[in-house]
Amino acid sequence: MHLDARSFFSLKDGACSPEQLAHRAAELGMPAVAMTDRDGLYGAARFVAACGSEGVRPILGASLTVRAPSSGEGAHDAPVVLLALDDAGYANLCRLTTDAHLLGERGDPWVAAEQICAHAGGLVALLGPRSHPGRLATGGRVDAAARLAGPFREAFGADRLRVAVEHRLEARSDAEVRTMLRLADRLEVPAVATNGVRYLVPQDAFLADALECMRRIVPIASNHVTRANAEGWLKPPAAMRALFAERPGLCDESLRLAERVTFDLGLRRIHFPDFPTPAGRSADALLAERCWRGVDDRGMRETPALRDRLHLELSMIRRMGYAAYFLTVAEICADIRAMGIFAACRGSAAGSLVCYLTGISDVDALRHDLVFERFLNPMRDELPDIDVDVESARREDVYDMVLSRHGEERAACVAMIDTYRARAAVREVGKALGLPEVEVGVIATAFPHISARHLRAGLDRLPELHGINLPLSQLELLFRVAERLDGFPRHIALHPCGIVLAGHDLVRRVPLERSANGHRMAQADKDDVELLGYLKLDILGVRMLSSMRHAIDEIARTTGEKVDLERIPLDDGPTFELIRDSDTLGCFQIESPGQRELLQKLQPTRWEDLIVDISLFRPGPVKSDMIRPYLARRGGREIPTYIHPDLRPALRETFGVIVYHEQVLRTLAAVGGYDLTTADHIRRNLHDEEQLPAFRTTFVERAVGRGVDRDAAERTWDAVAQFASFGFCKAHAAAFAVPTYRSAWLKAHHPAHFLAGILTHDPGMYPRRLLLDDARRHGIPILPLDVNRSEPEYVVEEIGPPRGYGIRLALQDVHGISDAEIRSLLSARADRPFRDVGDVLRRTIVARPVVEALAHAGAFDALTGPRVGSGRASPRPARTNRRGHLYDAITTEAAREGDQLVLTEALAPSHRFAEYTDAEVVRAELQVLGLDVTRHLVSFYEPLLRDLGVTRAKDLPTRRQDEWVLVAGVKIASQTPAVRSGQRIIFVSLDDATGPIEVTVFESVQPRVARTVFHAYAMAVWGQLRRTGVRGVSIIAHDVWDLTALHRARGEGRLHEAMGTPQERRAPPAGGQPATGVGRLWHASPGSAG
Amino acid sequence: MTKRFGDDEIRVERDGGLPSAFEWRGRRYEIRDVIGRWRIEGRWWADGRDRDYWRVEARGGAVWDLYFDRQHDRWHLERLWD
Repeated sequence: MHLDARSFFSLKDGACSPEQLAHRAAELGMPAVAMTDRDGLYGAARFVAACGSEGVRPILGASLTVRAPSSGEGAHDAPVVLLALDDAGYANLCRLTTDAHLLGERGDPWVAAEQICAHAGGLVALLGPRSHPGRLATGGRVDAAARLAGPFREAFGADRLRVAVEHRLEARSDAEVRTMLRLADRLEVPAVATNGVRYLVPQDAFLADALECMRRIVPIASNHVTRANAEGWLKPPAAMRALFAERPGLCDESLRLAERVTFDLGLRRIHFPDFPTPAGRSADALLAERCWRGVDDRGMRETPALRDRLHLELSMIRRMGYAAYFLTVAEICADIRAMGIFAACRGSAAGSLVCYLTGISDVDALRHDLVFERFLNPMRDELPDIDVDVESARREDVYDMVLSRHGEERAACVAMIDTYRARAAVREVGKALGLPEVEVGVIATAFPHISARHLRAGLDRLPELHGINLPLSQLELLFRVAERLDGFPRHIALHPCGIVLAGHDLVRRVPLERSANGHRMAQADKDDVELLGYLKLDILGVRMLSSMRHAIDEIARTTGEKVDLERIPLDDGPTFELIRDSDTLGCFQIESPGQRELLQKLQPTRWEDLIVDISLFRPGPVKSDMIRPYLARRGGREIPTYIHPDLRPALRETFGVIVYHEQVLRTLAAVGGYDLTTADHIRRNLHDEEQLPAFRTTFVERAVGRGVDRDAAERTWDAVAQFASFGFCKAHAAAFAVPTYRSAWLKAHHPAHFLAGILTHDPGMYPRRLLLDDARRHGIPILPLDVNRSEPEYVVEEIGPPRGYGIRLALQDVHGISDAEIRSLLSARADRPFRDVGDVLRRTIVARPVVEALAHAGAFDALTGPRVGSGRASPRPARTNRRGHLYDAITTEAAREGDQLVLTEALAPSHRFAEYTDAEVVRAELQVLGLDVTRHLVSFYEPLLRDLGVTRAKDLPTRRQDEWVLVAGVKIASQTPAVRSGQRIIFVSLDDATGPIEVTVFESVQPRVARTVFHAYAMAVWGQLRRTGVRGVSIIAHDVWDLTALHRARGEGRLHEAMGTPQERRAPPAGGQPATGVGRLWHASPGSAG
Repeated sequence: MTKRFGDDEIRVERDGGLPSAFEWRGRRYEIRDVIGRWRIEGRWWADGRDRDYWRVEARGGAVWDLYFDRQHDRWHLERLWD
């Protein structure tokens, strides 16, 4: 029975998870166990859940850091352990923990003893040997200790104050126990046995040392480690009793305390948010009223279908108690829009008519025949959450608004537990062990994000680590620690989108702290929030929404036209023409090569076609070949068939093919006679192999009972079972289709403005270089960087009749420029335009290297004409070309400090500067902006590509499966994602000015080519063509060359030499066979840039 | 005053888990009382020290610190308290 034990949520202090603590306590036969983490209750919900399944009673507490009463010599912060007995006690504990975090600096939580004493109700306080009174006592000053503990004695009473003794089998332990018992006597309170647990078994004590030194950022050494031995573990009851054999009362007291704990965190009980309603009005009545008002606002006709549907939804919401949640979310959405920020609901919530009528979603659930039960029904075992997309650039503003509008006590951000992965673990442990940084860095970076558990296997397998110059013993030590850190929390971060919407009890059940950017954040991650029964709203920042906002602002600025995307016609001809032409680069959801190919085949003519297009382009439908029959039937090449005529209404829209989850529900309902709630329950359990046979039997029997032919019933079930897991939620697709259509509309009508938005906010899968290419293809001029005209973002400029628009390159993409420098540039420019380089250096804070970069990239090219002297600068002719501006940027000395210009006047004016060559211009653009603005980079290699006889991207689709081809291009992306087989595969995308080329590099060739793949920015690839998926062209690399090296070799007349002999090139295919003996190293890890 | 010895290895006789006598530099010392015991463990990054200490009173009144090296299964004499 332990009352003082830390989990790994005492960051870098505890060496076990809450679950392991619960499990071990159960294993040792303890009736209860406390978790008392440092200044936090992060693991509380997990711990209580784990204790529940282990059959141990959880005691929730915390070890709060108390600031020293005086600031004199030796005044240290010291812990007091508090345990919650009941609801009031837990509320006080949450409040104290919140105060500790919110009143002090972030990362340095503390409370004063007085605060604790002021909120002592329902709490037990343990004063241990490391508490302030404990330290005084063990230092020989028992009287002073008793005086210091006086306020605790008064606040907690003899009933709830305890002196905690520890016997750690150290030389001083006997004396310490005796002293602490004297303190207890003096305070007239019982003492209780504890063990200050930081690890579960003695063998794990080393982890506590490593964590402690990592926390304090000191090398692991005797003088930095606080423990003298490995006795601070979760000792079994017998061992604890043996320690205090002469004083059994100490252990008895811990059991007595445990029995007094009545607090129950109450997991999985839903806690609805509060929504203030006018007197006498219920939330349900208010919601109904809002919905009817919405019918008018949305201009809908009050048909029986609408009335029935609304009635159904409202009664379900009333039954489940969600009215206040809907009202709260609706209010938030309205507030977001009132701020002039786009908000769009995504996910199954779009299937609700109530969401449409209350302005939460923009999708008419009735018109699109969406199913409410897919979103909310009484059989769902998870809480519904609504996801709202907002403009990414304004997400912080939205957070601030929601948190302040919604009240401090009722809303908070959700936390995210950032856990250790191999790279971070190796670095930190390596540092603590004092290993050389370079070597540790090599080890750390050699790994993709694999888990620490696989470090050792990785060492054996990765060739780049074979040359590591560290003694094996040191590496073993490093790995021994790093391996164990896998899954340990590293720090508590802000969840990227979740906000808890709760009632006033939130602060009584969850402590709050401050995130790095100052938001109030619950000490609970999204799983904890669900366990605690709180509803949340996910607010996601979506770059496409910011892009569209920018486009609309630019349209208004340049043309005066106010575009209202909510009012654009939904059957716009030019928009659908653009979509059918698959000219959709940059458009939401439909810009990938595969999607563009699908658009060409599908030829959408209506809004509904976008929904089906988005739903079909998913891995499931692609793999299971749902697309082909759909397209065939749509194109009239196949006759739609229905297994049973009753299915016609549900499946007619997709010609008899099951595409949507909603259709699965309706199929089950139509043939099996289920209500939609039960149907959704079945759908969600279709992945469960164990339940399938029973479902099937029941379904078939029910269908037969309703007069359906047995064979038809069985075939219907098989179709459902086959497609259910591949189908897509139609409501989700319908919600996606809104921004999809709007972005396409913008591109069709305002391409320059649209692309300026896309270039600014970079929402999609393509690098800016490719978007510039798209602009060029549309005949939109790309205007160069200009120190007097470029804005922070990409803006549109009218360039003469007939209403032509160009896109001006943005300052934001100038390499190395800071926001402060941009602001400085803009404010100086507002006074008067810059005349020359020196002018910028004098009047702004822009650093010289950045000014050089600006000159290098041509931002001064537009400055010509006679220069007028000003101030101290002596008049001299202005530079007329880029090299001259760059010369100025480099040589204009100390102008900022007000010194005389020491420019070598004699030399400079007469010096002739040669113009940049075309190659230099593009190189400069790439260096400074990462963009090849004036010409495509590949154009410089055209002669080489001709000599090599490469196949261009645009011709690849016409090549045969398995054909050997040589391709070349500029690298636009490389990725090393998780792959099921476990082998490391590098995916590289090349761009050869005719389109993207996807290259796959399997492990078998990596030893030869990986270096080039990662380091070259342009390359040639020899490999075999593979068809995969819809788009289906990928080159399986067999050999790779650096294009610049080949270019050089060609210049020296040894191109063939550089390419190697033909025999080598035509060696056996690289193949996709996984290397043998490969562990599943990368299985569970996300991709990382190569 | 204490006197440290160079961690001389000793031979210890035990009785019911407690040391009852030890032999050092050819002489046998009978233990009359165990005054204290403690444990130190650590330095896993270096030598991985792991010791059980016994503070004992030998016949004649001298107090000695002995330790059992759990890693190497050996007894040593560390200190004499005069």
